[in-house]
Amino acid sequence: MSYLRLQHGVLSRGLAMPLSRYFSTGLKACEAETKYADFGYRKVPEEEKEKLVHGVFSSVASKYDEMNDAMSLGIHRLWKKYLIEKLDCGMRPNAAEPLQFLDVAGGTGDIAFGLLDHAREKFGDNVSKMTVADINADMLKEGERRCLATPYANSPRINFIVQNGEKLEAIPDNSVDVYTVAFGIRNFTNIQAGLDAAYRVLKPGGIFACLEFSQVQDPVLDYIYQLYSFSCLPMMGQFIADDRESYQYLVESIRKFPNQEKFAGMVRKAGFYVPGKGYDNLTFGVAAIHVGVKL
Amino acid sequence: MLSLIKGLPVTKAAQILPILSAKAASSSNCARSYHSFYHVEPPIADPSSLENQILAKAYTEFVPKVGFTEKAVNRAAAALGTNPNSLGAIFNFTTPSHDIAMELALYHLKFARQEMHDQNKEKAISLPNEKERLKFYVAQRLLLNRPVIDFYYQALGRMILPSNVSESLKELHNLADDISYYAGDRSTDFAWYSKRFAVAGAFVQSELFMLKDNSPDFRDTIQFASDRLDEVDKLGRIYNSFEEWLLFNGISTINMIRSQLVRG
Repeated sequence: MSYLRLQHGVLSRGLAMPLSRYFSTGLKACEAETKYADFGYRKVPEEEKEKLVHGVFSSVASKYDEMNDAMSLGIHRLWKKYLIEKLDCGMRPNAAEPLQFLDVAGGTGDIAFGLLDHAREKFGDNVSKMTVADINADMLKEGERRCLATPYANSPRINFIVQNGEKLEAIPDNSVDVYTVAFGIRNFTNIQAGLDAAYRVLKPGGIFACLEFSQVQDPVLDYIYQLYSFSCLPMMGQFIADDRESYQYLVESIRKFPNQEKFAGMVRKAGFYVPGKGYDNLTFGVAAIHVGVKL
Repeated sequence: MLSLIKGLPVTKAAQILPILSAKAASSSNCARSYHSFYHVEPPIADPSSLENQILAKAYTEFVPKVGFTEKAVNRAAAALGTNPNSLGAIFNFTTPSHDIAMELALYHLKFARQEMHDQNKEKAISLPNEKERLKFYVAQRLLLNRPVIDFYYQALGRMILPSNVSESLKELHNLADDISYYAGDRSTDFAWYSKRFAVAGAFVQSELFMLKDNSPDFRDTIQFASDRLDEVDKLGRIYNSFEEWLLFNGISTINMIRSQLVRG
């Protein structure tokens, strides 16, 4: 029951405008001109979402990993490890040229360092390059700070740039072999634009891989999962990071993100070839990995 | 289901979903049979998908050189212009086994299963009865292992890894189902299961025998498979006896419980 009440509260807060406005013709015409984007369950004008998301991540940057561990019971590390192991990227000993990686929304660098480590340990690849792009300078600083503790510190193999994932202006067309985005694409104002940008920067034969929260497919498990995420997560956010609102947003944005089939459709729409059904569910679909190939 | 066949010409659609043609026929002569309408027709491995194109290239060109290994797939990918450094994204997430070498082994199973039917359907019709056709199909399918037999132990090794067992068993069932169906099995009772079980068992034993067989044209293997299949008949008798035994004991048990209850 508490779950239902919570849902209901959230839904009523989720209205884009006061109910009375729906009856006012003058204002309705006005509304048609502004485009709205989802910010959790709230509808906000598109130009504002970027700022709001920026606020969320700036405020959680320093506590980001502790919170991830607490909320997912450490499972997010397994998901990331699975993604890296199964992508199995790295320059093979007899290959002609090194790989160019791009990790979008990769602020704290988990995926970036993981991919480079895997390539080095499994294939002895010490030349492939990594670009970490994030729209949020605070998150990126966190990544740069951590980079100092890795073998890639101060090397030309890794560079960090502040960059909007929907545009990627600083990345030339057809220049990337492997594009990864882990738990980031959900926060894009326009997800399809992000996928189009990924398609643009990838070389033909390049790989798009996205790790993102998704929808639990079993209804019973989904109920338990919803119960956990809507009641426990914002509370944990309050206790650990002293920021309830940001984690309320995270939970709502997860719920708003398109499900596996729909997102695979969007990947296809961007022009990618999608192998098989296009996604791989992790932990009953709490998260999913989507892949695409630019032919 | 219907959307699947929308784009196909009518005859093709009728092949895939014989129930449609059966319905059309029933309107004229009111005859209706209850056979396995939904038996899946080829193509088994869709040749248009990128995964299968790479696997087909690897299977035909590189397996005879380097065996059922990831290397074969990597080389095939390079030959087709796909980047072999990031093949994991194509094979490790969305395929049933999440394993490149296993996908190559599965490709062999699917390809051979399809070839078994395509190459032999005309010849099979001329055979007199179900048992002969069964033996014929099993022999033909075994001979399709011949081009890769030197490396086949690698494929078998992959298939019995615990993480791959379910996919291998699924494909084994598909094979046993195809062989039984094309041989003319139309059973709808428990024999449906026992036949497929027997064919699958005979086939696996014959494959293992084949690995060590040095006789010309694998004649010993074919003989071995034929002997095992004769046991399918025996299995039918065993099933009947078992059913009788089960029925007798079931009734006895119920009666015993009743008698105890009556005594209070």
